[in-house]
Amino acid sequence: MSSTHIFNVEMTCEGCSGAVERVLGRLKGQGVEDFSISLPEQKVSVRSSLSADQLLEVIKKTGKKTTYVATE
Amino acid sequence: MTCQSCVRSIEGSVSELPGVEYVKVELSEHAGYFRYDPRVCSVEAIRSHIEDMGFEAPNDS
Ligand SMILES: [Cu+2]
Ligand SMILES: [Cu+2]
Repeated sequence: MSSTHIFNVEMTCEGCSGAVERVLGRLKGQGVEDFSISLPEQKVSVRSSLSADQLLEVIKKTGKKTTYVATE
Repeated sequence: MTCQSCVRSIEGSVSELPGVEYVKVELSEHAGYFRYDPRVCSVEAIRSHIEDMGFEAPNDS
């Protein structure tokens, strides 16, 4: 029972999105099934069994301003 | 780390670690300068915190 959670993350370059990619990538197979990052849209969507709040904390580790958008 | 926004992310987050007194990250040098209280903090703690944030912090400095 996993859902897709969408977040808005302030990212200005590939370095920023790379950081997000690393923190989420570490959780692959441990609650995170898949994720995609769009730098132009400032959007991160994560397919996961973790809650939106848990994922928000994970992404926030990067120090990037992150807000929850929606769950699909 | 490639932009000024990453620099601010790292400086902000590391400066909140216990024992850290001063943080300056230099984008042009790909380096960070830290002053900390060795009784509560260590290079390794700062390094692993930066790695935890999703940035690469190789051991050579
Ligand atoms: Cu960036
Ligand atoms: Cu950056």
